[in-house]
Amino acid sequence: MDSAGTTPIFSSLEDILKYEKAAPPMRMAVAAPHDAMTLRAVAMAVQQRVALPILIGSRGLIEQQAETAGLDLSACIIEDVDQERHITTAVQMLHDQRADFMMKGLVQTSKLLRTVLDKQWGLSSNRLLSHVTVFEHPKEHRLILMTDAGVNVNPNVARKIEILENAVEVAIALGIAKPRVAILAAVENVQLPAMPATLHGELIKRYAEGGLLKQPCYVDGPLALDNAVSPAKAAAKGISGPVAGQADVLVVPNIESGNIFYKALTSLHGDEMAGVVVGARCPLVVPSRADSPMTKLFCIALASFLSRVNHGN
Amino acid sequence: MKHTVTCLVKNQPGALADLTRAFFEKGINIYSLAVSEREESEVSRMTIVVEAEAGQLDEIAKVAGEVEAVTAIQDLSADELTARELLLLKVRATPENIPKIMQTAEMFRAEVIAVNKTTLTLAHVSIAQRIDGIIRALRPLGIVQLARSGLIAVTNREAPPADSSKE
Repeated sequence: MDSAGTTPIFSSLEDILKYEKAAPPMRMAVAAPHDAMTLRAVAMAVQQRVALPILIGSRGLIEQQAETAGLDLSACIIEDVDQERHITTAVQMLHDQRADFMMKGLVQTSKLLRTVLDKQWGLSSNRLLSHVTVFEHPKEHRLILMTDAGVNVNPNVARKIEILENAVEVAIALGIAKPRVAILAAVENVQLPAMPATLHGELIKRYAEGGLLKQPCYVDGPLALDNAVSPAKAAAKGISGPVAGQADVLVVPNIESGNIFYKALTSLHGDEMAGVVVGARCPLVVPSRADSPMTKLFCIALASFLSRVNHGN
Repeated sequence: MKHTVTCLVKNQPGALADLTRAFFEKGINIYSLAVSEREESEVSRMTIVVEAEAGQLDEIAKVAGEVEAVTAIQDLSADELTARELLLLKVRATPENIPKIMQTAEMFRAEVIAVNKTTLTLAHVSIAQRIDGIIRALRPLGIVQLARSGLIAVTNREAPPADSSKE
C-alpha cells in the first residue's frame, strides 16, 4: 500500500484488509446470518478487527449454527427479530446510522435489493445499483475492477454508463486517481448485429469523449480482454491509447460474461476476490455461497473501507 | 381515414404508372405504396394505403379494376390483415444524445444497424403507429435521414387469400 496525501493507494486485497484492520472498525448489519458460511465470515471479520457485526435474525438459529460450526460470536451484537423483519431491520439500522454497511445472509438478494431501493428507507441515492468485483492483476502488482457480474442482467448503454460510473467511483476510492476503463467485447471494431457489446463499447467511448462522465477517467472500447489488460498483446495488435493494456476497470457486456469471468478466476485460477454492490448510500456485501471464506472477508473489508470513504473518515 | 388495398398486378412495364394515373385522375391520394413479389413470379402484389372516406371504397376498387394490368383487388380492413412497415432512420449521435437514442431504440425494439462518426442508423419493423411514434421520439435529437418502405400486408385468413378477381 502506498499513500498520496491522505488517500490510500491499494495494490492488493491484503492492503485493503490491513488498512481496515488498523482503522476503527465499522458497524456491519448482517441480515439473517443463519448459515455457517456467513457466520464463519463474520467470525473472521471479528477476529481480524475488520468490522463490528450486528447479527439480525433468529437468536436461536444464529447461536445453534455458531455452536455447530465452533464459532465464537460473543463479540457480536444479536438483534433477535421475526423472519419478516430481517431485511427491514438491517435497512432501518443503516437509515438510523446505527450501522455503516450491510451484509446479506440467508435472504434472497432480489428482496434485499428491492428493500434498499425502497425510498422509505432513504438508502436509495437515485443511482443504479451495480456489483463491482475487485481482484489482483496476476502479473502486475495492482488491483483491477470488473463490473457488473452480479446485479444488472443485460444492461443497455445508459445503464452501462451508470455501471461504469459506479465502478470508477470505487476505483478512485481505492487510490486510482484517473481510472482507465475498458468496455469489453470480443473484438475492437463494431460488428452489427452479431456483437451488440461492440456497439456499446463504441458508443460509451464517444459519450466519455464528450466529457459527460461525472468522474475523471479514460474510457476505451470496444476492447477484447487481452488487449485491455496486457500491454504486450495490445502492442502486438497495434492497439494504443491510454487504456489499452493497462485497464483498471473492466466493464463486461452482461451478467453472463461477468459471471463467467468471475468464476474463471475463482474456480480455475483460485484467485481471491472482493465484491460489493454499490450505488446505494452504503455498500452492500452480497457474497456468493460458493465464495471462499477469504473472499468473503475481503468483501467485508472492501465494503467497510468504502463506507469509511462515504463517511469521510 | 386510411384504407389498405392490395392489388395483384401483372409484372409488365407501365403497370405501376397506369394504376397511379388512375388514382390521380379520380383525386385519390396514395399514402403509401409497396410492390413486392408474390407466390407466382408473373404477378406482383401492390399494397396501397389510401386516404379515403368509407363511401369512396367502391370507387377505389372500380378505379383499380379498370387498369388492364390489375388481375385482382382486395380491400382489407384492419382486422383482416397483418401489416408491417420498415423504417430506416439515421439520427445524429452527439455524445449527450447517445443514451437517449439507445433507450428509445430499446423501448421501440428498433435495431441499430449501422454506425459512423456522427450518426446511428436504426431499423424498425412495425405497424404505422409505432413507426410514427419512434420518429416523434427521435425527431428532437436530430433526424438526418429517414426512409419508410410503405406498408406491406398479408391477410389473417387461414385459407389462401381470396383475392376478389376484378371479373
